Amino acid sequence: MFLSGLVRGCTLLMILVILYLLFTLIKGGHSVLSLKFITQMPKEGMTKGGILTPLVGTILLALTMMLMAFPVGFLTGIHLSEFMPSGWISRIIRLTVYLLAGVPSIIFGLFGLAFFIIFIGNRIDLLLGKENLFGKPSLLWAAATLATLVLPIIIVSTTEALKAVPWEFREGSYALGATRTQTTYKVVVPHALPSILTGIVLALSRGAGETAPIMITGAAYYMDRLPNSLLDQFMALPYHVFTMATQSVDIEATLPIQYASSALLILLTITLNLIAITLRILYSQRTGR
Amino acid sequence: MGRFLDRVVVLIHFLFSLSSLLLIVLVALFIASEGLRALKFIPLGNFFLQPFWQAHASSQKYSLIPLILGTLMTSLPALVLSGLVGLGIGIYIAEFASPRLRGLIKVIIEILAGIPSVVIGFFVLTTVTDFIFELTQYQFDRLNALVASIGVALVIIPIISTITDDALRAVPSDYRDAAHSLAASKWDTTLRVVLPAAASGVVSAMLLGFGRAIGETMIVLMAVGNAKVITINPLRSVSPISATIASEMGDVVIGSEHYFALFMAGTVLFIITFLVNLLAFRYTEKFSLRSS
Repeated sequence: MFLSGLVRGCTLLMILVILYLLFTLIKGGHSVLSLKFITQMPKEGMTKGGILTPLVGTILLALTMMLMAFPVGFLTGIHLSEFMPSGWISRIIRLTVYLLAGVPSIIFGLFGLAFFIIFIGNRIDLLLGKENLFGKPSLLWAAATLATLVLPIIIVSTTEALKAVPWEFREGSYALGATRTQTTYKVVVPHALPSILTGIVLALSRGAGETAPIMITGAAYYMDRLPNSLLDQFMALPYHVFTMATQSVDIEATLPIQYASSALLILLTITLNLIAITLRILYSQRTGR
Repeated sequence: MGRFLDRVVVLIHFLFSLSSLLLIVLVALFIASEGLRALKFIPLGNFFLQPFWQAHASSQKYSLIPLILGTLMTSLPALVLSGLVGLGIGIYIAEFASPRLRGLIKVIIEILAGIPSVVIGFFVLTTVTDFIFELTQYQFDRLNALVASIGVALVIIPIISTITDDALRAVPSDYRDAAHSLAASKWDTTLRVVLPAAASGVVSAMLLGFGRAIGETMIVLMAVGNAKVITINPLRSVSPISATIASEMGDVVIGSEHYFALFMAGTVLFIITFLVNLLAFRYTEKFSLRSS
């Protein structure tokens, strides 16, 4: 029937576009992609050299972000799933998680600037009697901004992971006289760990790919060294792709580097996503769910 | 471990769970407070009653009209494009594809969803712009609303297709069985029985996609040209709210009129996405209630 061809066509269209995108990136950048590319810093106005600085910056950023986001998101997820699954407070919290997930990424950037850098950073500086130490764009505040952005991902995946654990596990534990804490952390959570890990990987992938929030909270156009501390600025892979594509000194010369950087970034995020998907498949095979 | 310690631990969990409530309130508060401070320097009329956004002219003007129009010009075509394609994909994987094919396609959709928007923006900038520019015989702007909305459509197709798929699968099989027993074809069933039953879920999918399209920043920043004009020609450069904020925030002096004006634009953007998402939430509740 014509209509079934139409919906098949839609799916095929999407697949073809994705393949074409990957093909364009690899074709444009393969001349530059190499081990040297990953281990060298950008040189000569970023028309030569590698992308070590942005790569390291993105890795540090993602790790710091996860250190901030995971404890909060994990505890929230456990609370919403195990301790207080119903009730008006939990309903409001669920709504706020949903709303937080819908905030545009540039708004998070504005929030990071207005709240973390100006409000909090300046006050810390005042307390410590320092000048412009915490109250400026830095790795710390960019990571905090991203942590706010990915928090809903961690909360939702933790709740989903815990929900998938069969109810009988909890019943058996309570029947043996365990407390809520013991049941949750010794029985339920270990069983849900692979799924929770999936959520962490997805959040890392998302955080590593975001550009708008870090543009005004810490990412730098160019730095000739790696960041010294959490309070230092940094280069980041997605921001690097952006600046090279739109503000390059010599767009012709940097074009292969642009393609290669994009390819590397997409490789990073796709690999993380595939790891997450594989974890999920392995986990469902293990539990038969 | 005693009862008391258990209670303390649960309380700690509760306090941490208030974080998301705290954060959304803080976000709204700080964006709005900096935005509203703009009204101390810039009269409200400047934002809505005149058509120019000129940050660097001798007389600074900060009209939100070209910005809001720019946002609509990139997000509405994107919604139409991805709404049709996403609906098609959702219908295909929910009703027609074999389970293995469905799993494979869902993985591909997830891969698309995982591509950073800056990479899609880069792809659009280098490939789609030249293609469309040739097609229109170099008549208009190379970076324009149409090109940007194609990129945005790519980003929201995963949202629309997965939620449509969920909505269609939530329709009980009794509906399909009843239709088949009345000798309806597969397509008749899908179009006239299942889809109407899943209507609120599909609406929620479209609304969520629209909300995402409105807020999308990087793709539009790279592909839309950032010209502060008022036009309905999709082949001209426009300046959506998100892209304007992102491009001008880097050079602005903190505390200047321009700075507050950008926060005002951010407040408007936040309110619009907030309302769209709230509306989508109402429809999501409706459809999940129905399926239970």
